[in-house]
Amino acid sequence: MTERNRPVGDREDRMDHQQAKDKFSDYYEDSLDMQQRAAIEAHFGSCSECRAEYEAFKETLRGLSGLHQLAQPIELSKKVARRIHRRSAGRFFGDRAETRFSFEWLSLVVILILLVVVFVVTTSEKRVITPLLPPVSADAGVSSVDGSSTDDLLRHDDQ
Amino acid sequence: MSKRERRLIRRLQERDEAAFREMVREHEQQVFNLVFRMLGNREEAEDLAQDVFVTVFKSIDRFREESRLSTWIYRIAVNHCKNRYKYLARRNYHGSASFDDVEAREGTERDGPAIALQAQISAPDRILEGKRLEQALQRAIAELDEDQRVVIVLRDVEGLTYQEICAITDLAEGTVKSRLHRARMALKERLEREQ
Ligand SMILES: [Zn+2]
Repeated sequence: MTERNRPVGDREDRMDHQQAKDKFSDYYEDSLDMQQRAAIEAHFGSCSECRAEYEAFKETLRGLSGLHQLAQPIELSKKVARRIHRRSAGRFFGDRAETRFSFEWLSLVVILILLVVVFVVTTSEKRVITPLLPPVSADAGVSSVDGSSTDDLLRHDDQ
Repeated sequence: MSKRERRLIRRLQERDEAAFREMVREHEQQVFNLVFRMLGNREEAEDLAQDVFVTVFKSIDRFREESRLSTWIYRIAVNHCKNRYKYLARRNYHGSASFDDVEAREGTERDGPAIALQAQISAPDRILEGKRLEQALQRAIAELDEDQRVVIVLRDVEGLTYQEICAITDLAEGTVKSRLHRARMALKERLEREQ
């Protein structure tokens, strides 16, 4: 009989206990070729000891994959940031780092508000001042060019 | 590697703190699970997991984009665990001494997840049996030698592929498989002895 058509379960294909045990992982992961799989199954069929041992092996692996599902929730990012801050002597993850975003926006908002206030104040002052100015506005034009402020104009009018 | 991951790595290399926080949030659970199962103690694991991310922050410039970022982080985590074993061995620390806290913890808030493990076994008092099994497994893992512990946690607890495990451990696939098989058999025998 040739190697090719020798039936599975023939004497030479039989596994002893140790050979069967050595193949537990491959059998479990389904990575045996057909012939080896048939041989280990034939061994299980005739050996209750190895069959029971393989059952225990499978239980162990199922238990291990169950450990993954038992993971405890964890939150590390703040603690890690503090640790890096400490170890880098404050170079990274300073308190400002966390608030930088809001601080920048706050500064921008404050600057915008100031600009609006200045704009409103200066335009309303002009509106009040204009009728009080002398009829010839050239003076005002000249004074503003050479840097005189509205305050100067106001003081001049008061006198 | 995805475009998003590549962008994240660039930002990490520029020491972008927001990117770093994002990366920690993305990987903290996996890293913690891995080191917790390797060390068997929550406090030690939490401390070590933080050190892993400190190392990621410090050495991100050395990250070659040949593997996924998660694989590289796992690699750092495994190296940290090995160093911690040595340190704890010098201090005569026995991981199993701390497993009692598993029971205390589970007795309160963790009945829900314990059922997940329970679904895998067929004892009548499922939850209690699940807790016992978790403790027994954790104790048995702690008794394995360090190299076996690494492969069994990566493969059978965390469910990583052989390709990833080879990249993390720098071992050939054949070595990983034979080491894993010995670890599984040893673990099975330890559990049988306990029962
Ligand atoms: Zn047998």
